[in-house]
Amino acid sequence: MVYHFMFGPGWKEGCPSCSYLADGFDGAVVHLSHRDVSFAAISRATLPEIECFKKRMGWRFPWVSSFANEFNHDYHVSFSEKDKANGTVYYNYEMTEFPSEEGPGTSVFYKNDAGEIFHTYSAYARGLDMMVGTYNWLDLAPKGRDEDGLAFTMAWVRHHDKYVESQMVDVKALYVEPAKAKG
Amino acid sequence: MATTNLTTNQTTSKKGDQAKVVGPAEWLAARKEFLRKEKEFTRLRDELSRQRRALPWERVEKNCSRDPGASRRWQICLADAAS
Repeated sequence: MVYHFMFGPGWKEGCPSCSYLADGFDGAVVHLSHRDVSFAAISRATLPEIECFKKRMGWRFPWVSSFANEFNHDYHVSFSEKDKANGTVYYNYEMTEFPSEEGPGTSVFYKNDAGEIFHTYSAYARGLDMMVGTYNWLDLAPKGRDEDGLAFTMAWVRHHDKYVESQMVDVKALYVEPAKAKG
Repeated sequence: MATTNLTTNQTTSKKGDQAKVVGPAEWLAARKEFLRKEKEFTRLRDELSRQRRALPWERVEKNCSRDPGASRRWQICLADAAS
């Protein structure tokens, strides 16, 4: 299984919302490996960019780069300049506007004894809800996810090392792709 | 950015909404009634997962290529990641 982690080449960090999901990966990976399931995250950023951010976040799960190939394009989570120029991209099985050059998703593959590989499933957008461990806790809390007033529901989410006391949220803010690294 | 758009991260929408406060017997009755709905949802989710596993597969042709170029890199990704 792979998680298509939104982290484009040149970004100074991975997407905060994907990081919010990824905070739950390490716990799952060790158990998955004992149920005949391997897991990796995959991003279009280069391997050095991935390794640097992974170290900052303290994660251990396998994370590979599709920088040199079309993998994330093929599974409709990376969008070309041409796609973006048209204003809409193919995401979650339809043409839609999208605020980033990378999108979140998960794809599942099966390898049989003969080594043949099959694509069995891909999910995007709220199809990933189940993988957001913190949301499953919040759904039990009196205020729930508490996002009704937000233009972008995850506007309150920060990287786990970026929360500060008295954190403020812009209720009108839409998704903003992480900035490019300087230099 | 207008400051009126800003809210604290602790409460972004509902302002202290509170449900009806009741005694233990009424609390338990409401909880058990809701448990029936939760069990129905769990059953439906199991059924949805069963149907997901029954979906058809597609062969990953690109991976079958012996081309040592870009598609081989793709193959390495899959060999590492595929379950």
